Amino acid sequence: MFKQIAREIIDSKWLIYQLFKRDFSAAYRQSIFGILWIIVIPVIGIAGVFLLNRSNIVNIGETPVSFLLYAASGLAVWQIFGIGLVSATSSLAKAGPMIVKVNFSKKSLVISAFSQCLAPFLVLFTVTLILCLVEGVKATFFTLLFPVLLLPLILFTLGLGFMLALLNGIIRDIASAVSVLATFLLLFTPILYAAPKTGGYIYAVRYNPLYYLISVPRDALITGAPGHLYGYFISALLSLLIFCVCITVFHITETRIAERI
Amino acid sequence: MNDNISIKAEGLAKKYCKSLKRSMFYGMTDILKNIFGKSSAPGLLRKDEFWALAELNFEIKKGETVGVIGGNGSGKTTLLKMLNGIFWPDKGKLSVDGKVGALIEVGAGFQPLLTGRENIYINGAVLGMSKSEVEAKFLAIVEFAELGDFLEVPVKHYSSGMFVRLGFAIAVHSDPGILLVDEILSVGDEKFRNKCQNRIDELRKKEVTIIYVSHDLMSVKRLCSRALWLKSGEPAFFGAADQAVNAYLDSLNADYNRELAGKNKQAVIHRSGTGEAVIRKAEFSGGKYVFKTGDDMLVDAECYSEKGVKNPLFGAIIHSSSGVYIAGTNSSTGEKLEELKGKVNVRYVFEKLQLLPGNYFLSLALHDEEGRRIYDLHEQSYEFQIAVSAGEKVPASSGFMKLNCKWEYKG
Repeated sequence: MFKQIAREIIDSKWLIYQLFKRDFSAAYRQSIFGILWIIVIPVIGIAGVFLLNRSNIVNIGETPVSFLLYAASGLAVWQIFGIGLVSATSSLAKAGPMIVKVNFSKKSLVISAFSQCLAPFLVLFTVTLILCLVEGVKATFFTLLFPVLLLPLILFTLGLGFMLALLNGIIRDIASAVSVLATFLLLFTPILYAAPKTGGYIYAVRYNPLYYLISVPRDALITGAPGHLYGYFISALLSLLIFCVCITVFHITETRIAERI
Repeated sequence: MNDNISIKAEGLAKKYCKSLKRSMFYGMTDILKNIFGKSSAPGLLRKDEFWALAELNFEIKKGETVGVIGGNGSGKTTLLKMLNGIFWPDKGKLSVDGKVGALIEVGAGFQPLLTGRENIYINGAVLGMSKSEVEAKFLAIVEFAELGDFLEVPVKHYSSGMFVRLGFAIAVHSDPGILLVDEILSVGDEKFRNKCQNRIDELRKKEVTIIYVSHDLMSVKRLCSRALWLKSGEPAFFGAADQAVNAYLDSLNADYNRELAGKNKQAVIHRSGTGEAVIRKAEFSGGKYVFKTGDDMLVDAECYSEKGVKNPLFGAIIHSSSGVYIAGTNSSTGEKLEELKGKVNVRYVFEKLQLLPGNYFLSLALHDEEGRRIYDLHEQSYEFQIAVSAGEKVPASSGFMKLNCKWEYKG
């Protein structure tokens, strides 16, 4: 079955690209600032937390590099999960009118919607690289592994995206719940602040796979020496499992989804 | 499946749920059951579910053009969606051999903000074309759609005709082995319809299997060798297109007849007159309310006068359903009755009605010889219908009456 799924995805790569291009172009076509909006929201987020920290309202803790670089790199990696999951979840329901009229690969819809995270990721990644150069961060073996270290997060997000897109096709509350959950997880996971080292909250961080999936590639980029590799390894295995289970469920049930949308 | 067979349906059935909330619940439970490898018992009806299509068995040969006819809600579109692989059958087996292309609401997936050029690529990809295929056929698509200067304009600025033309152009250039056509020819102007028709004819010559759904029964007769008539989700007839269309029309006329019988029974008679003589009751003879152009229409009236009236005339007027006066007549031109006293049964015989298809109202009148004194008038009180005759081409006449005209040419 995995062979069949892989063949379908490979055969649909041009369709995925076209669907991605369609949504990406349409999102910024009727706007003056266009793609600039991608950077505005993360910048406001970073600036907000920075100001809250400066005014001692929020304690972001001790970050290994400057807060700006720490937050920009964290948010860059976060985009893959945050934007990717929210877009993927609503992909089938949004394309409902097309799904009930044309027979095409529904997996392509989910993957192309997930890929909407690429643009904000690349923008923030570029910002991160510039800041790394400015701050003189040295590249190591782990820095070069950055793209590979992102793979578990991509699998984790895509897997959940497949399952949630399916459920949202039937019950529309799922997309709203995922949006709220994504905001909660952004605050809950140490992305815009350093991971706590004491207190009960450390357990919440310790058992949060998202923390490892985001912090390890992020730390590889900004410090060249990521920690928590054991947690990352377990989380990566979990991601692979989630991806396999979810895409299988999607594959089995996608033929029945059109009539429910 | 035999090599010569393009589509084979065995006991095909599809069910829907009337309640949206329940449908959501069923959707979730079905998915859960499927995940754990359990059957969701698709062959059984649960609360609020109904069969939108049931017990469909047929075989369609490669290169054959088959019509699907039936009223609204008869399951035609559901069948097309199953043939297209959009919906999965709940019961039975469907085997399809060949790449399926569909002309069902063409242009699905168009992004209004993007240009015609961009949408050709996107829609081509959605319809299963590769990049090289779209590039190779790009010019042909643009030419067929007659986009002209609009190629680089966002499709939201296209007229509805242009939109459909573009959608149709992409769909027919996707080289399907099986083409599903749903009422597409009813959209667009005459020129576009002819163009689509020609393209479909070309595909037929290339031995593409075509499933043609239409309410235009004459085109079904013209294009299709066989036709499937669906009635309330069940196959009512599958055979020669002529026979299927005729059977469907006969059934439609029987339905209209029943409907009109009910209407006429409940109709309030709009009545006026002196009352010296009255039409006690009148009805279409034999309970027949639906006629064809050229049929005789018989109306039986029971007339009565206590005192008696001399030389009464029996009149009739026909109005269209929108109230347009069409024609009137009375018995002065035919056999006359010297006196109406007591009960007299009168039969109106309207010979070879030359009315064109549509609904009409009949008024009946009873008056004196000069037509000045109206004894009884039933104004626009009896409704009847002229149906499209099975087997007859679309009438060349327009309006209400068929004009019997001959043309002679000299020189």
